[in-house]
Amino acid sequence: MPHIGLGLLGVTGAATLLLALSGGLPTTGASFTAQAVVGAAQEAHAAEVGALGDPSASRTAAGVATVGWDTPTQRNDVAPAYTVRRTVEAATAEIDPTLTTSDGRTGFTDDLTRAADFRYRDVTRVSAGAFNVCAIADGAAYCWGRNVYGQIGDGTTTSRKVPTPVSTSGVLAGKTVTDISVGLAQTCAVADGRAYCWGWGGGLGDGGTTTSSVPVAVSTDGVLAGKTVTDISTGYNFTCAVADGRAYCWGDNGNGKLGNGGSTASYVPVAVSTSGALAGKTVTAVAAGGGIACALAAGRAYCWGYDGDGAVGDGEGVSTSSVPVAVRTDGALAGTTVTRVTAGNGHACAVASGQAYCWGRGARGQLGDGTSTDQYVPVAVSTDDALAGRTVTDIDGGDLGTCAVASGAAYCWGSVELSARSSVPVALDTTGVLHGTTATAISLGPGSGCVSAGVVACWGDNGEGQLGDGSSVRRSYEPVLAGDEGHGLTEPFCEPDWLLDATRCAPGPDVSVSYRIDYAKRGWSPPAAVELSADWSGS
Amino acid sequence: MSVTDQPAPPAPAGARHAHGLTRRRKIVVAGVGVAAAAALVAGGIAVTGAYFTSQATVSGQSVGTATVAITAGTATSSAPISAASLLPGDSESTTIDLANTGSEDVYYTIRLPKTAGGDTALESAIQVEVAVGAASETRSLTAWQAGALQIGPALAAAGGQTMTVTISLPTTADNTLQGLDAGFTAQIDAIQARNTTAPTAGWVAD
Repeated sequence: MPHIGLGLLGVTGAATLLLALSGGLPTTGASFTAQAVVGAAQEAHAAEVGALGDPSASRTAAGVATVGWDTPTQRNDVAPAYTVRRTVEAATAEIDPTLTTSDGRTGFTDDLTRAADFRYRDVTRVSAGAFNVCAIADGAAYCWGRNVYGQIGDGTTTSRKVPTPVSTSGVLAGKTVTDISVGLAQTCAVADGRAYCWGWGGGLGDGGTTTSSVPVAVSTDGVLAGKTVTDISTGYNFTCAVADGRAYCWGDNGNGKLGNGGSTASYVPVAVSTSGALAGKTVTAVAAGGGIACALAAGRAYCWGYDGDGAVGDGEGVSTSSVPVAVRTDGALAGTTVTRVTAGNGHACAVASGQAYCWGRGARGQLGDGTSTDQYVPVAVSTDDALAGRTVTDIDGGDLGTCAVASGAAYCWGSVELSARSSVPVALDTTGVLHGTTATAISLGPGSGCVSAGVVACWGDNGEGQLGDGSSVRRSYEPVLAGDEGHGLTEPFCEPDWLLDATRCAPGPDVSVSYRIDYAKRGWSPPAAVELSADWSGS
Repeated sequence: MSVTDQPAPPAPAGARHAHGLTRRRKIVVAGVGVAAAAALVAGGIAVTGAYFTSQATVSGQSVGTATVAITAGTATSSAPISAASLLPGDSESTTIDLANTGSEDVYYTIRLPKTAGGDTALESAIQVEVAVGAASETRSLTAWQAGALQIGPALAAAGGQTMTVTISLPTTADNTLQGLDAGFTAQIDAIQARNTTAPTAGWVAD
């Protein structure tokens, strides 16, 4: 049926003629149609993410920055996603601070401090004893290792695996330590010209036999009265010192090792005899070992004590000597000047005119002459290989070995817990912590040794923590650092213009600190981020 | 037919010879002896002289046309979309009630003409979904200008239908769209369903 093209149109009641509906409705000829339009328009306005208002930033001398800005009010139902970049000097890093919002402001505090770096302090002495080690750094004493008798001096008997300060609350208060020496179970030091000891009683020189875990003053009531102590050395249960050019010893006196002509232990210092070889000589250094002691006077070495292996060096090698005898100079030492002397346990060594010499027990190669033979008179340590062309400046004898510093490097021979036994010097490993360092002093104990080379590096037995690296791991070949971070021998430091606070560094007023703060809501960000400097507000 | 027994009025002069039938009727009437005179009988019967005539009227016959009418408005439970601060990921909806107020079932299409003054970039980005029953179509507002959504089932006379319109800003909307505006209306075109080939539902491009 054909349709008439007159539609009754329902557009809000108005009639309109439509010949066909757009949008593809199929029609044949004319049809009735209608159109409706929803009266109200649908409207959408996209948000405008505005810039952060009223930004502010400041920082304190302690290195804490405070940053804030007006909280964006656009679309509060959508949390802003902030991006914060901090630039300190030339270094920029994105940070993720904890934001707080209060009273229409958003902000954060930022810890600008950095962990301080550590560097070794000026270590002037290092001494390895039987089971523990001590050192002097910036005039203060530090010890680590076994502490059964309080030989660490920290007021406890707890073993320490890292360098631990010797107590300064007592007799050492306010004093500067200039020398230190570790023996079998006791430690002695020189501070402000006086001698102090701690550890096993009977060898402390204070007149008693009481063990002490803190330093006690060596008696000055007797022979040391009014004298200034300049050098000290502790051996096995006895100690010797130099005061006003003379040698004094105290403790066990087996084999006459106190050098006073007797064999009775003394709990206070006694003078080493000057009626014999040392008559008229000025003693400048002293060394106490296992059963012997030696002194340096006027460029020559003098020793006393057990001489069964020839350790006294006078060529006898058959008995003991309770008074000093001159080490022979008609052989290897002829024409030399002795500058250093050390006493081991059955052997002794010296540095003379830049070369090393040893005498006494040699079964472990500890004389360094390429043999395993005892020598009753000094023999030259081999310079055929490792020491060739080098100048020896320091030397120390242990139980069964010897170590020396030559031309800034460390060498050892004998049984030194370093590697396979060698009767000639071998160099200490310098591929590790000693790489690039210059050795200045060395000390060897029965089972471990340490070298001072800007750092303090130790090797050997570590069962008592005597390597000072915080572990109990034995290090036979590679020395490890003793207390490398914040354990007495090291000190924190900061870069220039940064301020040290304990172990943290804070940027000083000349260090630029700035922030760049951007934010987005659902990925939309303002036209520009906020960039501002954190002004210094410290004093 | 009703018959009125009244004398017929004189026939108009011009009518007497106007048709040959008049003469024959005259003879027949005379032949049957009916005493009546009529000059003209309505309906085209010509009489000469007076006749008895009669007229019957059949009443109640009428002719009327169907109506096609549709209305559309925001549902009372809803409100027109008025998004003041759209962010990427946002969406808003409104519900529109359609009503067939005509007498015929209708087929209908939906268009979304944009309003003047909108920003082209936002119109291109914003997505508009129209859902009517089982049918739905989602396109950018710009794309909606090029066609209409054809609804398949007819809307019965006096029937109603709910339509949902949802706008959304994609999460990928560009930062440059900030602060722009867009607007549109909804337009429904209806056509009688009777005698119209059933349409194919879906998007129909112009």
